[in-house]
Amino acid sequence: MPLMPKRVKYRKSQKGRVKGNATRGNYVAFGEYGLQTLEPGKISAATIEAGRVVASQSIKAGGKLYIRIFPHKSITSIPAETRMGKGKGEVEYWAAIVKPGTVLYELGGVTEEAARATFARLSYKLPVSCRFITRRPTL
Amino acid sequence: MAEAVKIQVEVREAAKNKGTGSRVSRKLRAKGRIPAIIYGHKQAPTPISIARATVWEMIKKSTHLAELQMAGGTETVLVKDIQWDHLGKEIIHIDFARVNAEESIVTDVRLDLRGEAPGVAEGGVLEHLLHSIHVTCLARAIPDSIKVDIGELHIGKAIHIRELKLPEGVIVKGDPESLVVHVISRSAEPEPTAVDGTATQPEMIKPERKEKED
Repeated sequence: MPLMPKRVKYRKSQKGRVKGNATRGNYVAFGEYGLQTLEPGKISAATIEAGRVVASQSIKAGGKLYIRIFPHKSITSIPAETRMGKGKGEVEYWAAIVKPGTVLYELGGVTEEAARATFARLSYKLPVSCRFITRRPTL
Repeated sequence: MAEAVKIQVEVREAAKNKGTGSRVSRKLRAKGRIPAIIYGHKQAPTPISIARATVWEMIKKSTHLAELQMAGGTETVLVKDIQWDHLGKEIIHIDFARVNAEESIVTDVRLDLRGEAPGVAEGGVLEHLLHSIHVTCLARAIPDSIKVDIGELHIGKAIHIRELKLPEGVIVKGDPESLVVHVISRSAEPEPTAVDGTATQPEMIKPERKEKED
């Protein structure tokens, strides 16, 4: 089952625009290393899952993977060769809206080289450009 | 514990658009300085600015205390908060709190794992759940970090806050039963779920409709 909310108030939502930068969820909170997006965008539930599978294969159960995003937004589409009108299309998939700075995945219990290699493989699956980050220093 | 770092700072004018405010702060950052503020001890807050290179030096040394040397004298301060940009690359602003060396304070101290857990070699996964803890201690005796020895951590074993070896005079604030680090077996991890092509819909929370009043 791809990720999606358990209960929603409204099934369909308007498209909207992704503005501004991430002010929350923009630092490594659980693991030691993170993958941070540098661009705004939407990441589908299937893509999040694909990233998880790649990361699991790469770390070979040697560490702990944290998924920091969740697909809360429903994306609708109308079928091909359909005339205009007749209302909004049906829900096609669910997606997570990300802003520059959002941490997408985190890894713990692995070496930095292993984390870098894992995130390098994982980032090929993503529709946004990303960078590798570590924990912020505690003072 | 590291000694207080001596830092040369410049006092900013407290009036808005002269020494403080977003526009002034932006100009300061462009010049390679970071805006900061000193507050506490029921004294008026003092806006200051610090050279960026000095701040990074302080971060590398990971010292909590600093001695700020300015035109009006010297202040001993504790780093209270650091504001980062959205990517976590640059420091935007720093809060300093005035402290006395003999004063009891609350601060965050990093937990450093030492050694190698034998549980990992046995096929387990090391989960480091708590990276820093709130502690109460004297300002002059803030530990740089608290070392956690994981040399005896086998599969299924854990280290809790109550088991930490704390330096003298340091009291932990928080639940003593909280987990710091543990080694779990790989089989305890949830199995990866296959993506199902047939997407089911989430349950609807029907919004209550107000009945029309006649």
